[in-house]
Amino acid sequence: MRPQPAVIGIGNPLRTDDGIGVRLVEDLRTGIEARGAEVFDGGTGGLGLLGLVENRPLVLFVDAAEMGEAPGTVRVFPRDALEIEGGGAASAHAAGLGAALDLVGRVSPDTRIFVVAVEPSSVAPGLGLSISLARAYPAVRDTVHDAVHQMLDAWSSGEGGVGS
Amino acid sequence: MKNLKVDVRHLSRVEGHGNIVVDVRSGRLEECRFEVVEAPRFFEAMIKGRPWHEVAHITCRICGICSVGHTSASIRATEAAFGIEPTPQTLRLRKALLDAEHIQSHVLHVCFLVAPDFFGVPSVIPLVSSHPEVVGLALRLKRLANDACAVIGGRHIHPTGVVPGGFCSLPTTEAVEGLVASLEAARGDVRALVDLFATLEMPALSRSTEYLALGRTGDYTLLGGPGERIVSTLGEDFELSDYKSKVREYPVPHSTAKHTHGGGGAYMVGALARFEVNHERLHDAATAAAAKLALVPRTMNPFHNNTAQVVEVVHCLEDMIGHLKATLDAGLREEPPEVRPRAGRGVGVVEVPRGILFHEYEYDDEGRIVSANCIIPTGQNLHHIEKDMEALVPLALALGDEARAVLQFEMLVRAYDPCISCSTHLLTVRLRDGDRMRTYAPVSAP
Repeated sequence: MRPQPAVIGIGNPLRTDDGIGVRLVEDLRTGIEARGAEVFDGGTGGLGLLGLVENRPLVLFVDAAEMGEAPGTVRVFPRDALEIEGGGAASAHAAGLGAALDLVGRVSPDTRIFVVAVEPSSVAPGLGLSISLARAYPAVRDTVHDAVHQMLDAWSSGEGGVGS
Repeated sequence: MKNLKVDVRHLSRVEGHGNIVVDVRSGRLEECRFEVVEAPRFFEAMIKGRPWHEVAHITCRICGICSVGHTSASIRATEAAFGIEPTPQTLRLRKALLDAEHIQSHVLHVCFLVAPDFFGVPSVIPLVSSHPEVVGLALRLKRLANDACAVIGGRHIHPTGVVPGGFCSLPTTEAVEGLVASLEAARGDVRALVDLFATLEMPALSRSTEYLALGRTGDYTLLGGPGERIVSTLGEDFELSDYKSKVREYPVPHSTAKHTHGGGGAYMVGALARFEVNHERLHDAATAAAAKLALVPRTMNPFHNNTAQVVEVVHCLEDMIGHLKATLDAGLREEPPEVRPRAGRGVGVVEVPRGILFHEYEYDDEGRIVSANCIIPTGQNLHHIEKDMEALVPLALALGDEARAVLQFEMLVRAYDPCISCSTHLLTVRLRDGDRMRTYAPVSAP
């Protein structure tokens, strides 16, 4: 069976907004799976994510990310636009997604990878989102939904996904 | 060389953030410490007041690499508090799941984190080009182990199917049969892993060591249960519920993680400790691998924790096959978990890839957590790491080269496969070309 696109939520729900990626993909799971893509809770799997990514045509990571924007801002980046921290020195977990992005780009070069990034307000220990992100969540969810489906549309029509 | 200053900030290729500080002046050791700078853990406080059916789902998020281990220890603590004994089918499947986690964690560690040191490269990235067979082997084994976690535990990372009382969702017979076939086909890759490590020579270091691990049953045991004890190679053993007689935490000024001592001083946990306590119970294939890798009992060289992990990959593969075949032979059957919460205290003890893990819970009569204590293996190793660093100093000085000396200290700490932080990972976006940030306009902004 041909590998399908994957949408992977990253983060730790025990660290307030750090878990927003996990929460978003769970909320959007039904609609994404209806498009024939697979949805995964990647949690804090770090390099453990590699097995979920290899040889797929398209992978979308949904994750909290520091971008210097207002909390709740959503941006989409192609993998090759990102400068990977540490020059590729792969720590199994601490640089988690960064290391996985670096490595997967080399072992699975035909996989198109995008990061759907959401600016957090807080990543302090705690269950549930911060107050500001909880308020913004419906709009964030709708925006991420639209961005993910737009990229799946582009992939299925043969365009391979959006870059800007 | 009589002076040596090692100041490695944020040691690479370990999980979390730790600093190595060694200061030798005129041949005299002035400072030697392993600083752990992660924020204190709040997980024990987070589960206070939570109902029993939420606890494992929370604690499984403590670590993405040892998620099955934390889930297993958490569930065992809850079951012990409520007086629940798992069925034989549940025990077989849980043991198989732990085997899978050990394989994926050990393979990641030895191939991605340790091997680069032996190939003279700073990370696994150059190995993609220079040694693609090593990277390919590691990826195949990791993928298989992660798929096994998904089949048995319900998800690749952070299992969902394992609950107090048993499993809330079981794999199908077809899925288990398919998994067994894949595991048997992986024997070639596992042999290749052993052959690879047979070519690598571990640095020399020898220091009298007390090892601590689960033991005293017929198994090379990873899952604490009836009849099992906490075993020290100094000749003591303890009931699982009596772990505090041996494992004593204390704070240190240079580390945000507590150290532990075993009454007589530092001790070591992990794959090498398990080998020392249980080597007679290894699967025959693993015993043969140990012989090929020249790993023998009463090894006092912490670098051989790497070697013991490779031996455990062999053992865990065969062990998993055995448990799954036994499950198929008995016939998979639905066993709806039955849980009657009650006030009580329970301790769950599990061997996770990095060593022996303790979860202790106290519940009220509504089945809500009153208090919790979690002692992770890496915390137990911190004191021992520092003692090994002290012992390494004269050997490092004898190398006569500061860069090589620093590398030896880094390799020593990495050999313990420490997991210093189990929760922080925030991605910081830095674009290759700063101007292109404008290209990626916000899809939305509040």
